[in-house]
Amino acid sequence: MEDYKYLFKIVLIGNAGVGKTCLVRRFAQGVFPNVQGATIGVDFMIKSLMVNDVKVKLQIWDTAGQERFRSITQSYYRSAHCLILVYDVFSQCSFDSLPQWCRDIDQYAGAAIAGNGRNVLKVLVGNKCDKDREVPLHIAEQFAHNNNFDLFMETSALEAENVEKLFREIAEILVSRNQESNGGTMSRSITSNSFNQSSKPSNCFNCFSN
Amino acid sequence: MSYSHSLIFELIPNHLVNLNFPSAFDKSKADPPSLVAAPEEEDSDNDEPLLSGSGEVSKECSEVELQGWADVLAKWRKDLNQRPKGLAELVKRGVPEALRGEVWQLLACCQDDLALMEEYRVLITKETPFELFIRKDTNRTFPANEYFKESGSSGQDSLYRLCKAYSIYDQEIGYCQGLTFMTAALLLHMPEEQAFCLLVKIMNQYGVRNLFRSGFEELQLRFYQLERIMEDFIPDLHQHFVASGIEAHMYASQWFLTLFSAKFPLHVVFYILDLFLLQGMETIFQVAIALLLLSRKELLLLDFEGVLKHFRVHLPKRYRVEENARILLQTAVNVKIKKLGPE
Repeated sequence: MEDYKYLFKIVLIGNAGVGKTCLVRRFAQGVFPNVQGATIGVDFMIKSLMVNDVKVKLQIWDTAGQERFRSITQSYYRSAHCLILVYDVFSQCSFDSLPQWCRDIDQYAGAAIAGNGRNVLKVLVGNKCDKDREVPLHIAEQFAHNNNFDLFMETSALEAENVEKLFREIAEILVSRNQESNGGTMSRSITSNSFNQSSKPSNCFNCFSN
Repeated sequence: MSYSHSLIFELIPNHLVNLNFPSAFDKSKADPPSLVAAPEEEDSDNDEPLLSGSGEVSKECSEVELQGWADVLAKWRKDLNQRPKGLAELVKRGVPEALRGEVWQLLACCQDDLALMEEYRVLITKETPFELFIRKDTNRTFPANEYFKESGSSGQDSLYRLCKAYSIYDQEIGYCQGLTFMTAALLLHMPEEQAFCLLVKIMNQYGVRNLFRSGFEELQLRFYQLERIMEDFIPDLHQHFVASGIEAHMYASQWFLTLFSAKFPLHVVFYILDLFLLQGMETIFQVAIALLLLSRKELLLLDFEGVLKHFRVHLPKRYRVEENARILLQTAVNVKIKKLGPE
């Protein structure tokens, strides 16, 4: 048994080149890679942090951004506790793609968790806020509000701005949700690593009710 | 698309009828040779993955080896349609770097395709809807290699043109992330037009484009095959992966989609291309099984996270040592997979 109390799965999605991998690497390893090759399929990283004296482990799945990879990456949505949808504040095009991503989230993540009475935590992130922007802050805030995101933040993986804060807030929300649903008693989240929902019905969604 | 078993089973009758699981693999040889420790491997705190396109490739080659190649090439050039005797044995030891450009094209039977080269010159003048994607990816492919690392370098420009031309040539596939890595490996050995012809061969005759089609359906079939082959060759590791919830789609996408060119040092990338062009898709399975066999002992001791980290960071690093790359190659060619289904 490892020494953490909660294990949460976070999946990053969004267009190619918006900085998903850089965000994860800044958070998990404290580095900003000068050149980060395209993610092919999915990549995986882990980072633990303390929330209210409790150790929380975040399992972070980083996905390929190109549209055609969605058939591979969507299977990761369903077991996620949190989906971070990333766009690039410097790229209107990446912002314009958000509605399609939202439809994907609703289709592949929404239904799966609804049975548990708890939706996946939806987070919108505008990355590269160190650059000149094409997407105004208030437009993005409005979008996040209209589309029922639980959290919106602008980040800079390059300058380490808001990156730690982003993941910390996510961890805090997930912990407090988990505590609520357990009537205040904390229990270890039991999470299957399998993504094969159909063959293994006992998956992590049960962790909120155990 | 889901990874449900039903999907996989639906595919089996059509695609797996010819898949005879390996029985020829001599279990007494199941213990592969040990790898030598790579420099800095002890520095296990270093979680930095290798950059793509890393490493120097030695141009050295023994005189005996060169003479062998000279004889074979002389025969081959006389009859390009007939692979000369002794060729396979030579390729399996690795093609000498100085000869790769020519040998790769000969293996793929695409030398001097003047019509396609002419088409290439026309294609590069056209526009592609994938321009932004390709630009973004050419800027971040093989950054560890001198030829590609500078933005605006001739390497990046060539790579951009090649991927652009292919995206117009093959409209069903267009541009798919991952293609830049393999294409860059080709470009390090031949001029653009020739690299384009070889890329077209790899995608079509060698069947790589099928992996990218229809929501990666065939890729998922390949994952399934890999897991079955693994179950046969390395049952304890397969069992460990099943128990830990590790599935092929978590680590093997880029093995198939880039032919191992996105994470491994260049000498390994080139060895694998040598073998792939000699034998085709079977090579990916052989190399995958060899990688798993050679890391078996460590992988058995690692948990879910440890295994995935090993694949991402440590596995490519240990093959920076030339000797290990040779061990990988030899282990791979000894993995006998009789028939893989749709060719």
